[in-house]
Amino acid sequence: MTNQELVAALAKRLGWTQRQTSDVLDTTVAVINANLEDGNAINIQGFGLLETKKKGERISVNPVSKQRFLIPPKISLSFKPGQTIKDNLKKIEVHE
Amino acid sequence: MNERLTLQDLIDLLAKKQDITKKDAETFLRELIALISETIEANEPVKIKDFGTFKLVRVNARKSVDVNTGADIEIAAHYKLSFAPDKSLKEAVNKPFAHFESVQLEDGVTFDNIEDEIADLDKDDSVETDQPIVEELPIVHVLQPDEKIVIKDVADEVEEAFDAIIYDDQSDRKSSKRWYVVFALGLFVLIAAFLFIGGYLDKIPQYIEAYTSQPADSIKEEPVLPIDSIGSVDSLALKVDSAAIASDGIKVEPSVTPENIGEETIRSGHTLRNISLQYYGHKSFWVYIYEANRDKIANPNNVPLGTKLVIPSLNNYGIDPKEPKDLEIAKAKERALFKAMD
Repeated sequence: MTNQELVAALAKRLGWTQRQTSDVLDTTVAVINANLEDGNAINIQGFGLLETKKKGERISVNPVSKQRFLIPPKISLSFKPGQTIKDNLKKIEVHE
Repeated sequence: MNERLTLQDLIDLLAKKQDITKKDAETFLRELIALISETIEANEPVKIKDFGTFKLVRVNARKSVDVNTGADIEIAAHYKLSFAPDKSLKEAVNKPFAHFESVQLEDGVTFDNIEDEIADLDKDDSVETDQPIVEELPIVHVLQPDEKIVIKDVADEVEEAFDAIIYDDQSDRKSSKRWYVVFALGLFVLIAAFLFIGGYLDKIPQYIEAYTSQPADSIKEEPVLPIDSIGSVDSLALKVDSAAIASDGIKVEPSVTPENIGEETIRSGHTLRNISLQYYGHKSFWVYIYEANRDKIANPNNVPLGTKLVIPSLNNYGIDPKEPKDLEIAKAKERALFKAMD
């Protein structure tokens, strides 16, 4: 589902205009991003936990050239799904 | 920083920023979450601009053990929800570490070594060698698994970088490594030497005392250590062997002048300190004997045998050997002299 579709569906459910919902969605994203940048975690009950994690530096090897690299430390994002979603996912039939 | 925000906090922040009522903000957020959840559960990925993508990832079935019974159990295949952040978000989150870059490593360098003994020079060297070279190398871009880069461009870039690295490496490697080994070794030797000397500096008076308080036999084994010349230890030991034993009475020549209360000829086993003890009642007053005989005493630690010293009257210096205050003054002089001897 692309952004457009998301906005459209959302506007329909809320009864707001597309422009409105698009704006509010952008602001929401901005707020979440700003907090993540600051290192704050965002926990939405039932949905999940969005947090930042520090990853230490490590040595990795290019398998083709066997070149060794030192990859510097970095901060990355992690998402842990909440219990409600996990339960719902279990109900889905897995094909194949 | 390091706070945990809840949905409520988000609602408040959103209402404030967007200038809508808190009720509207709440409705919006709850609807958004519900919509995303439903879409996900329909196994349809949700992509949000400048944020990221939520999608389902299939997890294969695996064998495991039931925690309670210990019986074998199979965990069925299922889906898990994964979130892949957008590039802009990733970079924004990594801002504090943004200036770091991947670099090539020399062969044989591992980072377990850093935790080992720091005294281990060779390993120190290899780490040291790394640092400057690491900073000089051009940027090497490491391919991340999920980065969608046009392969052609990167290949060119990487090739160029590799060429540059190999060129720099070959010319610098050997000379730099050797230079660092020599430098580190030299530094280590210097530091060790200073510590060694520093350690002994405090002990000189002790050694002088020990030297005198023991009979001649054991003097040979005692490590008397003057600062400037270690060679003189040998010469002193030789003198000890051939000179008279300390049990000799101290010869006092009775040439007493108003300034002097006596004279002393240095024999084996004499030190300025114990002469001071004998004449003044305290060892620290040797500083005045030294001052009175400065022309004769080049190094108070090592006064050659046979030197004739005049023992001054302390009244000349306004000192009363029985005054504790004057003792302090003498001690202060002592310290100053030691410092000057460095």
